[in-house]
Amino acid sequence: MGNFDFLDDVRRMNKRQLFYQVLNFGMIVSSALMIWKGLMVVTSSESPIVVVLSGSMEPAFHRGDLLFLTNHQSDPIRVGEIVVFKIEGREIPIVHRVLRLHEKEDGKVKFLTKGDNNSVDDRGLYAPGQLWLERKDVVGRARGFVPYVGIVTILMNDYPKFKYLVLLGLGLFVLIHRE
Amino acid sequence: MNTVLSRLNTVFAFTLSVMAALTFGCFLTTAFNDNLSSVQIETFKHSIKSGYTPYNERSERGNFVFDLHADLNPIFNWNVKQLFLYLTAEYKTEQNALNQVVLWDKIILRGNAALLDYRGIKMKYPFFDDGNGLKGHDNITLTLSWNVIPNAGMLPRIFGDGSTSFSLPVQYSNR
Repeated sequence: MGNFDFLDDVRRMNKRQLFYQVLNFGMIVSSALMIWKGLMVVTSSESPIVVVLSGSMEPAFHRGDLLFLTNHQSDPIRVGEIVVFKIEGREIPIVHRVLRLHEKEDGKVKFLTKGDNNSVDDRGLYAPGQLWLERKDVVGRARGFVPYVGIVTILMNDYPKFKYLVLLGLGLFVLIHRE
Repeated sequence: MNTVLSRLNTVFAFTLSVMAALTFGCFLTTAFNDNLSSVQIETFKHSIKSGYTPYNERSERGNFVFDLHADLNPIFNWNVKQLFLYLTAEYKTEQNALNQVVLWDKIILRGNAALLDYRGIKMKYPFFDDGNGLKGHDNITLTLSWNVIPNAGMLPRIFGDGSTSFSLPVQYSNR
């Protein structure tokens, strides 16, 4: 009985307070969106934070680690950098290290990557007929790293029901909670 | 604070805040290290062969053996999980203004031996050029760099203090 005290709050709310709660919810969502878009502008990357999805960069990065990316055009790509790239036609970004690089006078660059934990380079992963990666394939370069935090995202992807549960629960909590 | 649920909630929130603060502290205390160290590299037995890459492109393949001496122990601290070392050959050709090829790499985890004293190491990755600019090239620079992988924080790439230059012969070798 004590656990449902908060529902009494809802019954006591009149129309204006309910409206206020919904607006509150909207503010939280827009603030989160603003922070994300702001990060995108500051880092020049379309995806400033990514979660590592595979074990191909172990022991440096494990599944579930979080990477902070930047992608400034004035910052040249060099060997040894950890780049996050997408293969044309595939959704999933790959996090590997640049192994080989050739750059022309005008700045046009082509490079080859390899995962630290893989024994061969990535040519087998590229699109058929593609031997090199170019600047346009790069989503960002890894500049910072935090371990484990991304596990939540992986859990939510692997178990979609869990994702809906969490989102629903959070939404309900914000709408109902008075403070 | 009088139900199990609200107590669990508070404990959980507190744990998360403490862990976040600790992680940030870990990052902040080592963010300004320069991670430098001096390195000596020497190369021997330079040769060049003509051949095909695994993708059937006609190309030239350079080869050499190297010695490496460096002490990387001072770089390790509580926030360095591993060092990813890579040996880069950098040179300029007619076709490309900049070429960088990683020929050898190594992972050193914290706790493993970080005093490098290698002799006669062979290249791990083939030394192909994009084109035919290697034959007789007289200014290929070899540097050792490392990528510092922290427990949490920035991922800097540092050039070792010390590099060597060498040239490849004009004649193809048949061996």
